[in-house]
Amino acid sequence: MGRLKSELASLKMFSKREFIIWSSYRMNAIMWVLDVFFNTTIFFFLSLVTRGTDISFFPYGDNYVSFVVMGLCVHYISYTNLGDPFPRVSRLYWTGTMDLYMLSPLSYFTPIMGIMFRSVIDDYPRVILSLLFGGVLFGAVYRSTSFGIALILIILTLLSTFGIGMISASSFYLFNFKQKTEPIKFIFQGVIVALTAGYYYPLTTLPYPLQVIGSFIPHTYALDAARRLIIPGGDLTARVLPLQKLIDIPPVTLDLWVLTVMSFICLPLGFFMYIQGIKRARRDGTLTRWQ
Amino acid sequence: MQEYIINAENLNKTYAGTNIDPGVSGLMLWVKNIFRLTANKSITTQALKNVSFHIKKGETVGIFGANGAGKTSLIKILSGLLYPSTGQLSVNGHTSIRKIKNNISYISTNGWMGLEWQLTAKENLIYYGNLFGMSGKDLDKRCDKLLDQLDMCENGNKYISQLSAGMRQKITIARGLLLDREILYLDEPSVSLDVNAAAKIRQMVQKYAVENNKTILISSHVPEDLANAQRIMFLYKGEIIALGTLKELGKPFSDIETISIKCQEIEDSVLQGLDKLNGVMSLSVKAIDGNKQFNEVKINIYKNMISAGDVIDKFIENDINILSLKNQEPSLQEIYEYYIRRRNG
Repeated sequence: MGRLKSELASLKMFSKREFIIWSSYRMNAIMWVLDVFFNTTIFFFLSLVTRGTDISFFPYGDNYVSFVVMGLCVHYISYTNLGDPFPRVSRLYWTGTMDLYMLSPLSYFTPIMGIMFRSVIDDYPRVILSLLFGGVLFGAVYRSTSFGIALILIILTLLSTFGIGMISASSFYLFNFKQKTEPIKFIFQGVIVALTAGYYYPLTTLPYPLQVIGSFIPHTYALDAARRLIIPGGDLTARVLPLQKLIDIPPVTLDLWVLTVMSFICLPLGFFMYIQGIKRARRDGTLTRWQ
Repeated sequence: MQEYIINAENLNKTYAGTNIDPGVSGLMLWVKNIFRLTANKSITTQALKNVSFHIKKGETVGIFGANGAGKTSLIKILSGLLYPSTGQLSVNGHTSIRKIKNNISYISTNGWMGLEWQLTAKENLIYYGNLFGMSGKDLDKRCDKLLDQLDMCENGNKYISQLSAGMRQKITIARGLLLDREILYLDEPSVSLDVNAAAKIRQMVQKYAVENNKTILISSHVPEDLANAQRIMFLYKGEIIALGTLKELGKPFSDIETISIKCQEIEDSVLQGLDKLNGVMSLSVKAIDGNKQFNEVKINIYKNMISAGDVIDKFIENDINILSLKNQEPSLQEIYEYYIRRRNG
């Protein structure tokens, strides 16, 4: 218990430091709001194209702005969790701070999670802003009946994508990927997620093989469940994803189960691989750039 | 009929005087047979070879060696940052890395030194203290005291990015002293400091060590950094080639005299002639203030084989004007080079 308290105190300390650094860039806050605003605006204009046509977003209602706002929300959450651990480990390596953290009594993961806080304060609140801009300015509508399940959904999405993020981060030491990016993150975020997650279009519009590939990422299930639950007119029974067609349980329940399984696999695997990576670096003398 | 001639299981060996319990042995640190292998594609290099030594509580030991001798690798192993390929290590009676790191403070001045350049000097110290579980007014006071001791009070509120390299180095040293640990490792502590600042830090670290009975291990290729070391370890290509007090290390030089001669330009043929003289151990030449017309020739001679007078005669024979002449004690670098030559046969 004492150890946990100490780790949490350290996380708080990291958060404070990251906030000081984040807020020291004064233009940051203005650009940050504008960025979210313009992102939502772009999709509002796109939605105008779909108006008056018989393009269907079934089973996710018929409001494209709501559809995309949900896509943006999942994107902001998952982008940080999946994409941030690798550059953070890279930063610790290049600045030599990994040595310091390894000498401290902290667990291996606290510094990574701690310095991710800058991205968390940068990205997570974008969810609220997107919902706000979408709803107030561009006609997005949401239903509030299932926010409890939506919260569970968010937590599971955070955990599963962070697990993949840790797998990606572990490649820095474990597979010696010391470049700006690495294949695991590129394949997941740059290829599979970008193509098959369905941020901006329903997954059903993709060719079936791509839908199958999309079945292996948490984003697919997070988006499916979020849109069914939060967009008015979302259908809670129709099975559209390949796995939903195979397993006979309600789609949202299945989405939550898949996300739970993915969290239970990816998170321990990511942590295990990261520890192995650190051990390898300790053997090879590559914990930091400066030897 | 017995199957084996020798059958040994679970053997234990305790070296005399190296009981790992510091309360019994008085030893703060001992290392035995440490090897470290680093692999670079197809080339395998032995960074440390069979390194064994021990250090007593309260002792200050220096590691002297050229770049790439293995000093930083050794200190990182002793800190638990690197795993040795083989070997045993105990620090303050502990062999597990988790416990070892709670007993040491490691001051490295390599690279960015792990400082957060978006934070001020004092914020860096507080942040570092927080990492190690320190907080509150005590930490604040300790930071102020250290900044004062290092003449950094006025710069405490400056961002790291606004500080000079030397000032940043002072902050890393302050950071290491923040933790009240039994052992302090200093890796190249004076690398970016001017002469006065380096001397002040040496003095401060020594005072801290004596007053608090702390054990210190300093690695450097600058002899002055090791001025306060009670014992010095010579590290060469990952091997300890000598270890002892300066007096002990300089023993082979008791039969050797070092003559420093400042003279006008000297031809290579004359130098070669001098080098071949029976009784001349080694010889080095450097231009004075970069002017090749004036040279300083340092010659180590075996006293029982040749005299300083014989060497001077050679200069006179070759019509070389001597500007000044003095006898010198061998420098740490010269003693180190002697041991390298001896090791290389």
